[in-house]
Amino acid sequence: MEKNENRTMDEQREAAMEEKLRDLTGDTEIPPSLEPEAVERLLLEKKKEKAKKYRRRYAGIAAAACLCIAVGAGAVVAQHVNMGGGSPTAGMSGSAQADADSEEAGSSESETVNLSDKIASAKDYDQIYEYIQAEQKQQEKQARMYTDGMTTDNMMEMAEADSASANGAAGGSAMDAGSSGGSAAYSGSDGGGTGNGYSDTNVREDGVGEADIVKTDGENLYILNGTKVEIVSIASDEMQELAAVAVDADSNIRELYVDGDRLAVLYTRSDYTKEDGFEVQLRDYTCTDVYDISDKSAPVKLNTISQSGYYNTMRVKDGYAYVLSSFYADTAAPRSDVGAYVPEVEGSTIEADRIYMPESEQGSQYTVITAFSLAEPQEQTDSRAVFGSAGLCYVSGSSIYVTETCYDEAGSDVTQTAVRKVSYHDGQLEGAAQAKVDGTLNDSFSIDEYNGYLRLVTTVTPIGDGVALYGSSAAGAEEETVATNSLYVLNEALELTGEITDLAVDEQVYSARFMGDIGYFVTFRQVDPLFSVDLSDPAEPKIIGELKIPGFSDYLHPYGEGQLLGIGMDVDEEGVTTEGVKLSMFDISDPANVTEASQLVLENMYGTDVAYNYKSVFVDVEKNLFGFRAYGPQSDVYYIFSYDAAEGFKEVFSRELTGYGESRGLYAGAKFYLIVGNTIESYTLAGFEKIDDIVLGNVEPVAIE
Amino acid sequence: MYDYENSPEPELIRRAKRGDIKAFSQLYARIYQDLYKFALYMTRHTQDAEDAVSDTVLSAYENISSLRKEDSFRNWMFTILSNRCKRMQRSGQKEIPRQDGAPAAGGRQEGHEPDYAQWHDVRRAFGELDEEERIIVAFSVFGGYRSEEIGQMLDKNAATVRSKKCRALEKMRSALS
Repeated sequence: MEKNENRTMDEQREAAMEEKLRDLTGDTEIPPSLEPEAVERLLLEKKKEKAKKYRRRYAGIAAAACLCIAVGAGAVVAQHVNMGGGSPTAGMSGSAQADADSEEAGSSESETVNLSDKIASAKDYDQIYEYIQAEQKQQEKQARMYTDGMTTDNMMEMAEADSASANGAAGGSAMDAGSSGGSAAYSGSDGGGTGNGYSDTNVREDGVGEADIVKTDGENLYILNGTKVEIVSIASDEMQELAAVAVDADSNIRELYVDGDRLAVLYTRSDYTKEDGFEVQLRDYTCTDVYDISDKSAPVKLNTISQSGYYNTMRVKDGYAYVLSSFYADTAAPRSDVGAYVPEVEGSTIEADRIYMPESEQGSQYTVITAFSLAEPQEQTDSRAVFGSAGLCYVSGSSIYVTETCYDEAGSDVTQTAVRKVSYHDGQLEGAAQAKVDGTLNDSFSIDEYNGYLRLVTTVTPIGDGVALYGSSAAGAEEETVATNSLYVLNEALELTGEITDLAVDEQVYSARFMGDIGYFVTFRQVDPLFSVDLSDPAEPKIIGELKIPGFSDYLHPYGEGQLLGIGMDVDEEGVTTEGVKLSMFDISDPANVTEASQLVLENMYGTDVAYNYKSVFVDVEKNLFGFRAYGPQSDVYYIFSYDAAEGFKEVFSRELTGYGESRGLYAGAKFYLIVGNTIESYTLAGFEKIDDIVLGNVEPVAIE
Repeated sequence: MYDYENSPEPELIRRAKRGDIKAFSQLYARIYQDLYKFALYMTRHTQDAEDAVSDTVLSAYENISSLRKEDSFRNWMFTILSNRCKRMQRSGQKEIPRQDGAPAAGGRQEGHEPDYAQWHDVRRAFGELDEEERIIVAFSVFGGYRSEEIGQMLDKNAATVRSKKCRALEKMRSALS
């Protein structure tokens, strides 16, 4: 007790001292050269300088292109995929294993964990502890080597740490935008609709359900509203709040999912644990509350499934939920404090043989996966953890792919992505394979499984030495930082079957969409090449088309036979300023000869929520409607468009949004619902005439037992 | 005309990534005073601080494509800057007085430094700290970061950061009184 009081007093003293320091330094004079206007001028100068150099260099590259390819080919192939076998870790094995790793996966021999492309489990917790120590050492070493700090490595770690700390509050949805999606499966509720059907969350993978902030079953809306999830009846023209469920105050609801009679509420709970009766430490748990909602006005909680780490994403397939969380090991924990560096599921630490170890033999983060039945959520059916560093996840109809970005200079001189595949089926999980390819993924649409093959499109950036990254450095050094793009095809064992490298020099992938045997992706620097790739032969993917138009698409969506919708930005010819939000309809009936059939620019709008979260897109190809929120100079606007081959895009609805809450559009039966924060408006789907509106918050949540 | 001032950060980052200097400068304008103060008390030299911030700006502008959509520009800048300052301190260690408040030896453009009492006192107080303490206090006071966040940046346990900060502030209190 006394200690606690002291602590509070200490804290007050500290806060007062900090305040004093702020006061004392309040009127610090800032050198004129650092004023924003001066900096702007400086950057402008640099840019002009660079543009000159760039043009010169580009001409040189074009002329020398044939030569480069001929000479470089052998080396490039050998470097590009580094499958399975223990890649050398800086400061650890240090032998010449890199040479042994070729694209012939699994052939390399190594004494380290992974002898092949087969994914490897931890031997015991000690081994995990060693990996954490190794990463610590590595980081310290890097900190010393690059006191400048800005190897890309540090930046990313930094960034990841940030997302971790931000998870409590607003940071949430952005996180998810990067991960993958689920689907409209609703296996349990088919036929429960009004007959006219209803829309589901725009998901990453057809047939795999995905949680979001708003859901419908055709007769009710389920809406995340602050610390509550509300159920609103839409059975009649007049909407009615039926019930609400809540989580405790230390928790933060992230998403929800509805499947027949089940409502799943996903949230992150922060726990304060006392150690030595004094030390207070923060730990995050991802929890899923599952409710029986057979009576919509009286939800009954069935169980809470908990796992370490903050919420990442969830999927539903065949009635089973798969919840992914990201857990950060306490890297300062003593070996004996296993709970601080090994994640828990349902209060017990995950067994070592269910933890998959990274090839790099170091790590500090986990992606924790639990599975459970939504119908009978009494216990989880299986769980696994993928150890290394947490990254983007993609879930196909049968596998969960956990990726991480590697900036290991000893292993490769370009950024790489490690992929680990965990198969799932009816609530069971099993590690399947792993691989590493060059480059980094833009978002979960850049990785896609089809017919057993995994296809990835990546942007490959050389890892600078920290000094060459400065604009003032010699032109030679600058050239080394030019990005290229690659496409890889891997088989079920994640062995490389085909690849295309060195695409779109100095550009970056902005969006991608794989549609069966054809893939499309957009890169951008000054114009927007939309590439088409023929993937029908996994051994020989081929670029078959390249459409260059101004601007770029952030998001691509298949829009009926032979059509691909792009939502992005229009950019002036210098590629500098954006002119507005741009909608493009691409005619892809001949993938080798894609054309932009129609386009529309929403002038002055400077962005869309589509760019950050695909789940915010409302799209129903059969009804020929798509909607999204655009950011405008005065206020945001929710738009709905339809498309006609002869007449182009047609705006059928627009509504200025005043609130800051996230927005979703959906339809159920013959009505369209626009949900913004805690307000719902209903409209006729036929002519978008307003029917009703309601502000949430008038029902007390059912008691938490 | 695009309204940079009222634009949300993610959109500015997006624009900056496409090479929009105005967007970058707007992002910078929101934090530059904090950045400079941070650098000033980390390096304790106005010229060093100025160099550190301008190097940071150039480096950040060059590498903004590696900043991910969802990351905070502020955190990113502070990380670059703190590493920059650390490096400066290591390379110029001899010129920085460790324990006393005497002006740095070696005539490192001392004339440029405003010599009013406050600056002197605070600088002296920062001089009482070792590098790690200094960075923790600077992150806390000028960056506005909590111990948990600083812990993540420095890859240290939050409790360790808290106790180090407590000690550091205590040292500064006695130096200032």
